[in-house]
Amino acid sequence: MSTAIAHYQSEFERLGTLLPWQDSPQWQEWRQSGWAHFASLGFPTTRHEEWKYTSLAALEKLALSCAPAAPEAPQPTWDALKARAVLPQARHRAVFVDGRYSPQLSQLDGLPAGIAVRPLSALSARDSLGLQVPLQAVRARTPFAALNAAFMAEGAWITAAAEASLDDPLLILYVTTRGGQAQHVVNAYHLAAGSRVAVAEQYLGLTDEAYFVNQVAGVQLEAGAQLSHVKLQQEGGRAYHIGALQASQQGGSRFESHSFALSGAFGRNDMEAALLEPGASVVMNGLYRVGGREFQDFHTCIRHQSPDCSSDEYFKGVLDGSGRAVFNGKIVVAQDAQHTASRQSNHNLLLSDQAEVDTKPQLEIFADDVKCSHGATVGQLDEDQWFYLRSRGLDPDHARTLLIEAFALDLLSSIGHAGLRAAMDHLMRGHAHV
Amino acid sequence: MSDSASTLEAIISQEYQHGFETSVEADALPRGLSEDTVRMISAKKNEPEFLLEWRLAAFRRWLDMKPPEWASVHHPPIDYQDIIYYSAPKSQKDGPKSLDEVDPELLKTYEKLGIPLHERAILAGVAVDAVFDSVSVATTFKDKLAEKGIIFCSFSEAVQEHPELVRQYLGSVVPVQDNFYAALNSAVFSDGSFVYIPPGVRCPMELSTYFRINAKNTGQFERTLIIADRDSYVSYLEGCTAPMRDENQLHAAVVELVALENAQIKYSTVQNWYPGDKEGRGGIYNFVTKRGDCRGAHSKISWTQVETGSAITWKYPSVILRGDHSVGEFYSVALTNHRQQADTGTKMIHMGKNTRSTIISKGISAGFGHQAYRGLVRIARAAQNARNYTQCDSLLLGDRCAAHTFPYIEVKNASAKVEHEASTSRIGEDQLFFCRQRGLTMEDAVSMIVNGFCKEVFKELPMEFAVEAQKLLGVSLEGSVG
Amino acid sequence: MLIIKDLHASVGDKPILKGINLTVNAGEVHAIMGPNGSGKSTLSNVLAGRENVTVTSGSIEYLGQDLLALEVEERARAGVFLAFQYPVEIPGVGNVYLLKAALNAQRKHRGLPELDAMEFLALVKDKMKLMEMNESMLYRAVNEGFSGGEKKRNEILQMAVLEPKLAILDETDSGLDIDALKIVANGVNSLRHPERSMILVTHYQRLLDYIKPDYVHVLAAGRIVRSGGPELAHELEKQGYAWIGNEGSGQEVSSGS
Repeated sequence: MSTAIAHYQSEFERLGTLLPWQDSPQWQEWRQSGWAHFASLGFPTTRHEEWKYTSLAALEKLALSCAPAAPEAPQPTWDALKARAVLPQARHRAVFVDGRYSPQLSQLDGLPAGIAVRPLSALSARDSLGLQVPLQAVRARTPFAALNAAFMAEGAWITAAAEASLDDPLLILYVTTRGGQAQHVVNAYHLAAGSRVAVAEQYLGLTDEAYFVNQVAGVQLEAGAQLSHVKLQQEGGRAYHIGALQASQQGGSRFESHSFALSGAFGRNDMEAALLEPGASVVMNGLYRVGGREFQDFHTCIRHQSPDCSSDEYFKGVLDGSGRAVFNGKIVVAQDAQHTASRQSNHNLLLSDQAEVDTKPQLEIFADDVKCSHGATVGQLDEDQWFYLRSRGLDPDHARTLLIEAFALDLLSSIGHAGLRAAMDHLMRGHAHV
Repeated sequence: MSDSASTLEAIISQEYQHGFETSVEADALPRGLSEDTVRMISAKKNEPEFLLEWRLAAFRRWLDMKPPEWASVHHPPIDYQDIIYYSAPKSQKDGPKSLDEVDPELLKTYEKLGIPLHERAILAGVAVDAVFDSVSVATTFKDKLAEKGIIFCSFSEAVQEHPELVRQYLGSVVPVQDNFYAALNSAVFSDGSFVYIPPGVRCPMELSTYFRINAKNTGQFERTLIIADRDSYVSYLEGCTAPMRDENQLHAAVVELVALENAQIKYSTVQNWYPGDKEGRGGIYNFVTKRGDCRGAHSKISWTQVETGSAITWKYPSVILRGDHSVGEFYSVALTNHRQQADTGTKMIHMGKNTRSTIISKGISAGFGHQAYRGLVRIARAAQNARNYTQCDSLLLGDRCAAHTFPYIEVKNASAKVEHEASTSRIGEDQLFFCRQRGLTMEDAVSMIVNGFCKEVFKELPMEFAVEAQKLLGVSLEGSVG
Repeated sequence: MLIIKDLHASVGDKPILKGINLTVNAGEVHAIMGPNGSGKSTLSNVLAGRENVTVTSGSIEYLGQDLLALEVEERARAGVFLAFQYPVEIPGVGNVYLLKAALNAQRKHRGLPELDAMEFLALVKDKMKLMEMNESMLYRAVNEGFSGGEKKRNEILQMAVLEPKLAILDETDSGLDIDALKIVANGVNSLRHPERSMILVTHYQRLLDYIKPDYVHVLAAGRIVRSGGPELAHELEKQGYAWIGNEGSGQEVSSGS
C-alpha cells in the first residue's frame, strides 16, 4: 500500500464514527465500497490513459486532514465575502466554510414552493437516502469520486418538485480559509419533471497554503427538467481542486453547464452527461485560464444513448506563464442513438513559450444517422487585430488584455440564463467598461 | 429506404478478387520463434555479423514487450509460436539473375494481379520490386536506375552490396524497441525493398513494390528503407494482396524513410490484403510501423494511403519534422466493411523551426466495420512557427458500423498554429436520391459520392494508382450501401 | 508635416518600395495613385508602423521627429491615423469601448484629462450623425458583421473622433457603392483643416471626384514616377496605367496589406 493510501486509510479509520448517518446500513455500505474502490485504484499515474498528461505526484505527498472544520472555528463575514461572490445579491445562498455549512452566512428562507435546498449536515439518516439517486452514477467515476463517497459529510442537496422553478439563481459558495485540509463535498441535484433551477457553485480560496477540494456533483434531471449550472473555481495559489460531475438526463430535459477554472495550482474536472431518452439536450461549456505554474485539466464525456438528442460543447483555454492545460472531450454516440446532433470545439490561446496545452477532442460513434463535428485549435492573438488596436493608440499591454478578454468573454454569450450571464460578465471583466 | 438498403447490401458484399493461390514449392523454416529462428534467417540470407547482432538485440527486447492494447481493435491473442517466419519460393533459392530466371508461375501470379514484371510490358515509368512471401523475386529497371546512381533493389541484396548504407540507416527512424511489432519485425524480417537516391538526383520513374503473401501460416515481415540524399526526389508506390484463407495471417512490416536536406519522398500505398469473409473469418492482420524522418532542412515527406484490405489494420505512417522548414503530409482513405477493423492515423512530430504538416483523413465505415482515426500532432518547445492543419472526416454506411476519432494535440510552443477539424455523417439520403433521380444506379450513386468524399486524397496519388484506388473502393464497397 | 526621403522597404525578402521621395505640408491633401502591386498599401503600412514591412534605407520625418523610431501606438498618439483598406474585425471588443480607449489614450498623451462616459458619448453621437451611422453600431463588436460600407464609415468615424494631424486613407473607396462613397467623402471633407494633412491612396480616380487633392502622385514599381496637380488624375483616368509601363515595370507584388 502506498503512503498516500495508508494516510487516507488512517483518516478513514479515525473519522469513521464522526461521519454522518452512522446508523444507516445503506450509508455504511456506500462509504465502505467507496473506500474499497479508491483503495483498489489508488492514485492514478500518467501511465493511465485518462491521466496521461496529469501528474498527481505533488498531491500524493500531502498528508491532509479529512475532518471538516470545528463548528466554533472563526469565519469570515458575509460583507467580506460579498466582494468576491459571483452573485453578491443572490436572494438564496448556501455558504460553506472549510468544508462545513455556515448557517449564519447562508440564507435559505423563502425559497419558491417545491424547491428545497438543504445542507447535508441538516439531513436525518432517513431523509439523506434520496441523495443516493443522483450520486449513484458518479461515485465510481474516478478514484477521487470514490474517495469522496467514503468521506462525504457536507454539501448541498437541491430538489425541485414537478413544475417548480427557481429562476433567481442560487449561490452555493465553498470558501477555504486555511491549509492542510482535504474537503470532500457533494452537490446533488434532483429535478422532477418540468422543473427549472439556476445555480452558481463557487469555490473560493482565501489562503495561499496548500489544501485539497475533492468535489462531486450528481445531477438527476427528469423529463423536461432544466438545470442552468455555473461552476466557478477561484482556488488559492497552492490549492488542488478535483471535481467529478455526472448528469443523467431523461426525455426532453436540458442541462446547461458552464465551468470556469480561473485560478488554483491544480485543477481537474471529470464531467459526464448521459442523454438517456429522446429529446434530451446538453450544453457543456468551459473556460480554463492558467498562468504562473498553474495546471487545469478538463475531461468531459457526453454519451448519446438515445435518439434525437443534441449536445453542444465549447471549451476555451488561455495559457500564459508556465501554465499547462489539458482538454479531453469525448462524445460517444451509442448504436441506436440516431438523429444525434453533436458539436464540440476547443480553442486555445497560447501566450507564452513556457506554456503548454494538450488537447484531444474525441468521437466514438456507433450510429450512422448522425451529424457530429468537432474541432480544436491552438494559436496566438491575431496579429492584425493587435496591430489595429495599437494603430488607434492603445498601448500594447492594453491591446493584449483586451483581445484576451474578448477571446474568453465570447463564452459568456452562450449562458442561457440572463442572471447568471450578467453575473459572470461582471466578474470576468474585472475592470470598468463603457 | 429498404429498397436502397438491399441494393446497398448487394454492393457491399462483393468478393475479394485477388484470393487465388499460387502453387510454388516453398523453402520454409518450421513454425515457431526462438533465437535459433533468428539465427537461421540471418544465416539463410548470409548476413554480416552486425545485422545478426542487431536482430538478436531486437529479439531480446521483443521478449520483454507486450502487444499494444490501446488500439480500438479486437482479435484473439496471436500465438507467435504458430507462425512460419520464413518462406521462400524454392526455385528462387539463389536469387534470379534476371527476369528470365524467374519462375514462370510467379510471373503469372503477378500478371494476374495486374503487376507487370516484364520490363518491355511495363507501364512506362514504373520500376517494380516484387516481394513474394518472404523474399524479393524480381526488381525491374535496375540497370537504368543505376545509371543515375540510384540503388533500387531487394533488402537482402542491399545487405550484400551496400552494407555501409544499411548499417548507417537501418533502425535509425524506427528503433528496434519502438513497439512490439517493430521489434518483432527487426528480429525476423526476411526481405523488402531498399532505395537510395544520390544527392541532386530526381528519380526519373515511380518506384514500386508489390507485396504478396502466398504460403499458408506464414507471417510476412518485410522491411523497407528509403534514403533520399540531399536535393533528391523519389516517388514510391506500394501495393499488397494475399490469397483467401480461413485463418488469419500476420503482416508486420516496418518502413523507414530518411529525407536529407532539401530532399522529397512521396510514399503511396494501396493496401488490399485479404480482408476476411463477410463473417470475419480469415484475413490479414496488418500491423505496420511506417515512419519518415525529415532529417534535413527543407525536406519533405508525404504519405498517401488507401487502405481497403486486411481484417485488422494497425498503422500510423508518421513524420518526424526534424529539419527546419521541413514538411510532413498524410493523406489517407481507409475503408472498413463487413467485420473489418482499422485503427489508423499518423503522428506529426514538429521539432525544427518553421515546420509544416497537413493531415487529411477520410474514413468510410460500412457493414459491421469498425474504424478509428488516431493521430498525434506534437509541437516541441523549440519548434518555432510550426503549423499543422488536420481534417478528418468519417462517412458511415449502415447502422451497425462505427467510426471513432482520437486526435492527440500537444503544443509546447506559443508560436504554433494548430487546427483540427473533424466531422462524422452518413451518406446523404438526398444526395443519393438526387443522383438516382438523374438516372444513376444506386451503386454508381454511392460510388460517386464516396469518390467525391475521398477526392482530396486521391488527387495525391500517382495517376495509375488513383485509378486503381477508385476501382478498389468501388469493389470493396459492393454490398455496403444502405 | 511629413518628409519622406529615398525610402526603400521590403516585405519578406521582396523589395517593394524602391526610393520614395515625398513631402506633405500642413493642410495639404495628396493623392497617391498606382496600379495593383505598385506599393501603395506598403507605403501606408510603413507610415502606420506595420511590423511585417522592413525599411531597408531612407528616412521619414514627421513633425520634426523620426517617425520610424516610433512604435505603432506612439505614432497614433502623435496624430498619425491609418484608415485601413480592410478594417479588422475584433469579436468581443465593443466598438464604443475601442473608441473611448483610443481617444483617452490620445488625450492622456497630450496631457488632457480623460473624458468621462457622458462627455464621450455626446462627442461620438455627434460624429456619428456626420457619418450617417446608426447608434446601434456603437454597441456591436469592432467591425464584426459590418458590411463593407459600414466598415469604411466606421474607419472615418474613428478618424473624426481621434482628430489626427496626418490621415492616411488606404483604398477607402474600394468596395463602396456611390451612396456610401458620398457619405465617406463628405465625412473626410468635413475633416479638412489647415493643420491636418491627408494622404489618399487609391487605384481609381473616382474618389478624387469627391475629395479634391492638392497634389497627385503616380506610384509604379515602388517609385513615384509622376507628380502633378488634380489634372494628372484625369489623365490617368483617360489613359489607364499602361502608359507608365515604361517608367516602371508594373509587376505584381504582394503589398502585404
